Amino acid sequence: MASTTLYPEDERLVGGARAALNLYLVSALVLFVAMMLIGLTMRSSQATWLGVPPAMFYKLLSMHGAGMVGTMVLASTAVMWFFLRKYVKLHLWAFVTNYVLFMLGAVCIIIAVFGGGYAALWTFLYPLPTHGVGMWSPYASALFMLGYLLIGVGMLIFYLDAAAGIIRVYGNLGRAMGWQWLFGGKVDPNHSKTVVASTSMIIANSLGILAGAVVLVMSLVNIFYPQVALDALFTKTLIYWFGHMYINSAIYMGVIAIYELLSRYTGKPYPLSRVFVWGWAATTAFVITVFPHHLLMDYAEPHWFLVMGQIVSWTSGFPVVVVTAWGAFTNLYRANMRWSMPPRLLLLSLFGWIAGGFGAVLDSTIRINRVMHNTQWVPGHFHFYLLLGVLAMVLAFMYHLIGEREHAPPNSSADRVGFPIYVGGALVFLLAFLDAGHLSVPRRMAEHLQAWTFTDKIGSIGAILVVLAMLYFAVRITVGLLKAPPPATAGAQVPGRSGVGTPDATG
Amino acid sequence: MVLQNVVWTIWLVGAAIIALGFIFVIVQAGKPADDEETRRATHTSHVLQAWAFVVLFIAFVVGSWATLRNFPIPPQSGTLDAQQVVDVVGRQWSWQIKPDTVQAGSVVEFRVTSDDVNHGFAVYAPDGRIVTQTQAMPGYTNKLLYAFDKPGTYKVQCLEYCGLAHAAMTHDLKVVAAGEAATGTAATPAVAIAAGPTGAELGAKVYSEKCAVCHQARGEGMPKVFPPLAGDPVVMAADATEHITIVLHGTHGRVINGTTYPAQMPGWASQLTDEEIAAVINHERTNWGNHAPAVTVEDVAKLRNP
Repeated sequence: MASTTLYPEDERLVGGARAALNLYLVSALVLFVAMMLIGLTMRSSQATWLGVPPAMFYKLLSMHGAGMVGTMVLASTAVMWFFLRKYVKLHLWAFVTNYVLFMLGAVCIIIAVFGGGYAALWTFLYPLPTHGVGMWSPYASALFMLGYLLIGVGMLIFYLDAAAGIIRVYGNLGRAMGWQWLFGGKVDPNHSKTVVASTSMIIANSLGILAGAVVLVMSLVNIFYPQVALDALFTKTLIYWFGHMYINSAIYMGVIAIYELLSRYTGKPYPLSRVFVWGWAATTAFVITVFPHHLLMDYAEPHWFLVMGQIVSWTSGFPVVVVTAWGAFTNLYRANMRWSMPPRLLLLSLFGWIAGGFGAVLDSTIRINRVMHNTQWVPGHFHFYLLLGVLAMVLAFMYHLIGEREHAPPNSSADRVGFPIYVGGALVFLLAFLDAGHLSVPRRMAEHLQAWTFTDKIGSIGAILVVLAMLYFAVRITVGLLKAPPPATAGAQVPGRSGVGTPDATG
Repeated sequence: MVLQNVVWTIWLVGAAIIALGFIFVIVQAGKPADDEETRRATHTSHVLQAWAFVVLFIAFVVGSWATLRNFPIPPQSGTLDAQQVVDVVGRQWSWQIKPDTVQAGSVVEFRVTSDDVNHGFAVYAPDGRIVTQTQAMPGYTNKLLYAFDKPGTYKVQCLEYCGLAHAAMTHDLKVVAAGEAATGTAATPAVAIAAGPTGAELGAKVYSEKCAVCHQARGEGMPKVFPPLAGDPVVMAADATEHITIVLHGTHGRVINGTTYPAQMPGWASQLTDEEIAAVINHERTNWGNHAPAVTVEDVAKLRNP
């Protein structure tokens, strides 16, 4: 069971482990800000406030999509590693190898985009990578794909090390997920939710990465041997299977922060239950099978496959609402909370996940998708659960960490100003996207009609506020992370609901 | 009833209810409770959790039945027996839609495919809202059924990113009243306009639909990507052989006035008639300050199959 001690001793970081985590988190913060600035540039260009030429716009779009998704996963991987290492032995070399390969992959992608002019987006839909029409060469596409492969290999190494550690402790992945309690038996409330969620994502995202590897290799073969033609529908199906599971892993690895940290700030236990085990068993199956909702307008797909996309999308909301959010609400109820940044951000992340997810569920309905597909409704809902969901989870984790270095949960005046600016800006930014989707404004388009620029302008204003708040968070957290950690025992054994360093003791 | 408005309303109401739920939680979280109150609250929460599951499950079953019982996508194998059939081919960056005039009030079957990369075939109503769409994918033909209820000029817009000029990949689709179509005015514009009074109008139309995406409306091109036609030596040349050949059969990697343009220009021989190609070439040779001799339909015909 997750600790109710704010900063337990078994989470202390020393030496290389601390340096590695700082590398992950500071890199993620820098990348988040950089990718947000790219996003703001694109929205401002659509709003006609900046004159970004289409050739540059689509390069920026490719960089933003690949960069943001990769950074989300990088940051949530750090969340998973930090907490999972308490329960199973994780090798630092695997964690560091993932980081190194991620950065090498990122360099390939940056060179492919800004050096080679690659602008076939994160989706690299066959055969667009070889149809740059002079804007980019197939070799730029190959370099972009090599970058993806490096990032995927790094992630797979990390997952394999984690899977080995879990199997050493629990015997097999099924027992780690608590499946022995699905239909009976006394549930061990101390069984780690982190282990359950981590195992789930090891299973799902490893499959996704392998699917990605297959389609990347196929695409690379096609680039160097064009006579080897691919099937456009099959490659698209594999790409979205990979892409969907990869970004979903960011959410479900990030949610570990809620499981581990919420109870420390409420001071109330947050035990594992049979409902939780069922919820995560279902989540694993849903994450693996829900991706056809990206292909609903590909009528050539088997129709049972498209029906599965709608049905699984609808049911995917069950575990989120009935298990995770409900459990968190119960834990928060009458907890005599003293709000600081970590719990504030954790609760925000649940709101972003549910409200954004609701928009996604609507979009996954085939009838609705027929008028919403590839409109700005889509970035509207996925930015909702990434910006207010995953990023909020990750920021909560980072704020929690710097609290340890500051001997108290962070809650400065500047934090209390930055938080509403972030939330307010994000809501303006997101509602502008969703409203544009409802008005049929296309996504992924450099040049907008005059009639579409109103929502672009509103969205840009929201984005400016988000970037300002994020800049503050990035500096604040980076400075906090680089501070020396406290002595070995200070603050480590403090009980959750009393004494210095606990939620009650802070304003 | 516009479906997008319904979806937007449902989301706004849902998001407001979710937000109210969170506000309730935040208010309650600030209050203390003793152990007995906490135990009772946990029990109540478990009961409500079960009810939440039941309510969501009922919503799921009813919603799935309502939205899937008449499956919104037609069978893709076999014939669909629609009164009207429109063949659609997408290519970087234009649509070939034959015919591009249909009748309101009866079902149209769109057979949508692509010659090169993935495109998105979306039909926008005159009010600017999408009414239907499907993907245009190389190697596959997606069949889409739709019945237009109002006449007007609809717009086909590519909704799947397909490269630099993706935004400009549009085409008008005329929807006429059933009686009007019955008198024969629903013939494809290519035929109708070719029989029209002047080649200049045809040239301007073809240029606008096929060429302006890259070379821009006033022939200024895009720097270092697509060459300008205003002042271009091939367009200005007295001998139009190279100009006609390029329009018919395409080109790439040309060096013009010291600038290399790596973009691939497609050949239009398979899509445009000799009349249309002659008209568009003459449009280019006599606009934006260009003054070059006109070409004839016969000139084009000679070079079509060299």
